Amino acid sequence: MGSFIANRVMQTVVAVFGISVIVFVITNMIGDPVNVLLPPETPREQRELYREQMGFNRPLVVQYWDFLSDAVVGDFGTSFRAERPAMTIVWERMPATLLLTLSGTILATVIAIPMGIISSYKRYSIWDNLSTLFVVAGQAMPIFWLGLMLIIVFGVNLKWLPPSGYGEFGIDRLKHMVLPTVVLGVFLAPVTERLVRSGMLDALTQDYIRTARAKGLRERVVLTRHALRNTMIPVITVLGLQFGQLLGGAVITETVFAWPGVGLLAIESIRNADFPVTQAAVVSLAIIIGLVNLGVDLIVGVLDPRIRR
Amino acid sequence: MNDKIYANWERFYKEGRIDRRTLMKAAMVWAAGVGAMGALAACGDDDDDDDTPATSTGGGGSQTETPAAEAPTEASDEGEAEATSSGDSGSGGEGGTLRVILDQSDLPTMDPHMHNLRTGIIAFYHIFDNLGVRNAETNMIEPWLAESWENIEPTVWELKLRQGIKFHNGDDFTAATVKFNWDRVTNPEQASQQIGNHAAIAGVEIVDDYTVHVTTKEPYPIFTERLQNFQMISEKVAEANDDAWLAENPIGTGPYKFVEWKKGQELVLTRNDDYWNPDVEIAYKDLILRTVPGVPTQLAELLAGTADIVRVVPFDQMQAVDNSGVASTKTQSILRVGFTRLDAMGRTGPNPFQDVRVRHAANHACDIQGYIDALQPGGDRTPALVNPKHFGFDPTIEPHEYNPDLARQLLEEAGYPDGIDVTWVRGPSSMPNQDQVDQAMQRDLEAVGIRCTFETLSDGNVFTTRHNEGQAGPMHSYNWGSYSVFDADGILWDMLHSNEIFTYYNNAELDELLEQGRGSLDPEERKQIYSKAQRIVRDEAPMIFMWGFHAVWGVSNNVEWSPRPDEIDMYFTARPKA
Repeated sequence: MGSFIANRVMQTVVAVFGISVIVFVITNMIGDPVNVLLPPETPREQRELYREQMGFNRPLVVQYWDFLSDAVVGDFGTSFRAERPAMTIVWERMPATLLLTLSGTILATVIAIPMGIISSYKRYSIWDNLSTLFVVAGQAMPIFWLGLMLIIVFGVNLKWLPPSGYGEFGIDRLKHMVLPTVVLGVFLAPVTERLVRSGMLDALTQDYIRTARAKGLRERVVLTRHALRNTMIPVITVLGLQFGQLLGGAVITETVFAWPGVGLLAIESIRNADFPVTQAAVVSLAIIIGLVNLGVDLIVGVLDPRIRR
Repeated sequence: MNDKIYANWERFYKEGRIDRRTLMKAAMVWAAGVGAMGALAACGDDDDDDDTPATSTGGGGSQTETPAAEAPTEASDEGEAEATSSGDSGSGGEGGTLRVILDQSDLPTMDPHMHNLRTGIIAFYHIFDNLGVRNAETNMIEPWLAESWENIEPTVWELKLRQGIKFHNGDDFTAATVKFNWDRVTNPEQASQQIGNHAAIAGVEIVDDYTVHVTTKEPYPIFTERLQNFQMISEKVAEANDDAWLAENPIGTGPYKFVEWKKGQELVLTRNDDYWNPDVEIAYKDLILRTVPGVPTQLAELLAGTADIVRVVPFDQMQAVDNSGVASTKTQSILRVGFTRLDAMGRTGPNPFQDVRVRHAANHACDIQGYIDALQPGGDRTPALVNPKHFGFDPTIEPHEYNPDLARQLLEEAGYPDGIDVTWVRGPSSMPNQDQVDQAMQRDLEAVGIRCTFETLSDGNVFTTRHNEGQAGPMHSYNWGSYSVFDADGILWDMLHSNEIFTYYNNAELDELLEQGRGSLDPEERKQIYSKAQRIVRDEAPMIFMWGFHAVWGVSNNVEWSPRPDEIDMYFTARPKA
């Protein structure tokens, strides 16, 4: 188990390093940040002075080396605009993103697992057809469109929920969470539901299920303890991978719902040519995705002893 | 109004100026606008006929529940109050809360000297004060913290300051404050992004506690423009704290005091009950300036009654807002000028637009007034680039006539009987309906033989870099807000003086006139200089001349407020509708 963890941690570190290189190169390809940071009327000599103060005049290789040697210890430099450390700015926004991603994942799981079980157990029934309809609709709807429709119906017309924003801690926050959570849940649930359904269909025809039934176990126990447990192994792996997608989806959800998370911050920083913040945001998200997948591997290891060997 | 727009599109299609796909797209956008409005209105039950003109679009009626529309402010408080983060919405015994959606991205700092954003300037007009402020009627700069000013020598301006003004922490506003602020922004070590605005300032000298002499490097006719959009911070606070502290703790003399900055969400301000200016009656006790990234979400907030003012309403959504019964649009002509630049200088390499006849042909090919009527919320023709709002605008200059035959003839004379093929570089734009305008223009140009291929860059920084480095094709879309300087110099110099990094044009005669305009302090003489300059620009046509923009705000029907031509929104002038 120890070497398994060490191996996976090493893989995560290499992946994050690779991502840091890519994000550095891409941000520097966008263009000269001085064009965006200074007013166009700024005289040439002051542009040059500013460039020198900010260190933009150094060769790109030197800039990369400085970036890398600081980044290793978690220092992504100071935001070009906000005069504060880029990492601090990113981590101020991280709780909002994690809150939304987690609530979305939980909602998706809560929808997908029972739905998958029912539609496999009652195959071709009205429930199975309804869940297929939900899956197709959920996959076909663009996130931003669903978000806007929910805002129009529940925020503007019915006035049940606030159209957007983060709200104050407490009930207000929960109210603000409902619509974006539903959007993320609907985005993630279909894939999970399909996996549960096909996994269950497969499991229910296995010998051990027949044995369990023959032993006289109650049907609920057969379904949950025997069939579902084996089905969950691929489901959890995919949930881990989907968590990354959900963080990506959060960029769109956060934009539609004015949710002050890292996705929104990343978009803003790209628009504002604030390279340190973009870099810190991307690398932070990469680390979180890496950690989640590491966690998933460990859970799967617990569920399925064969993988550990 | 949207019907008319659609009819115009249809006409464009019939005349072959847009293709079928564009028409379909336009129809979809139009239908989506009407449909969304229908959906928005679907839940309204009371039928209050508002005064918006009826339409035949069948969009499900034009009413939303609006018992509050004409009622006193308190009326807006039902149901939605709990939906807002601020708690009380647009009402309350002490004047209530005004909720404004300021922008799509958050402000980077609370330090008024360390940004170059219009939204920053707007926010800080509320916490801080400026030495001068523009009169929205006359467009002239009038005294604010400065009581008066006088040009005592060609390069020396004497400012008399208002007395008895205190910062929110009790510090006095004096001549030392003014000197400190100018020294700070012009100090290269400070690396203020506003340093370029004050490049002409040589130094500030304190004469007495309430008088300063400001020296400029050369005679500087637009000096008073520098008194606005330049906010005064307390020198004592700045000396006692570092920049990182100032970036989070704004202390000014302005009509509102800072309460809290929830990053990525909102800036919360509360009324300064001891505000020095008796002419400013601040009706709302609290002011919340929110960040909402998506324009559709901003509109939803406005229509849900959870926001009182939004700064951008897309043209195709104006009808939805006006018919909502909850809010209305306000259109205001602004200083920003749009144009399609032609590389007359050959900065991007040899190209057909180096021949003035081809540039005139391009101008005659485009039905500018047609685009304004069909695709813009208004627009002021700019026959020689200068906006009618700029000081020095010459109204006697005639715009290019829409005349495709003349255009073809000019092209032939220039030696292109078979027409030309050029690349048209486009970046993200602040112009309403930019895509539709560009497509209509592309068709019109093609009709006379100027075949343009779009190269569209979705990233603003990539476009700006290419533009500034002289690589934006022989042709590109551009617009210029003159940095809110209401003077012909603010656009002619930056866009056409051969020394500027933005220019794709080189004319020694024009350069000399622009330098004379900058060096003269006599308004009459300057008018004549700029009139001459505009005639050169009109005759040389270094761009396809378009128009001065109109911008559209959305304002709750419970709030009385008007936008300004300089786009510096002053929310402290808002009041509940009686």
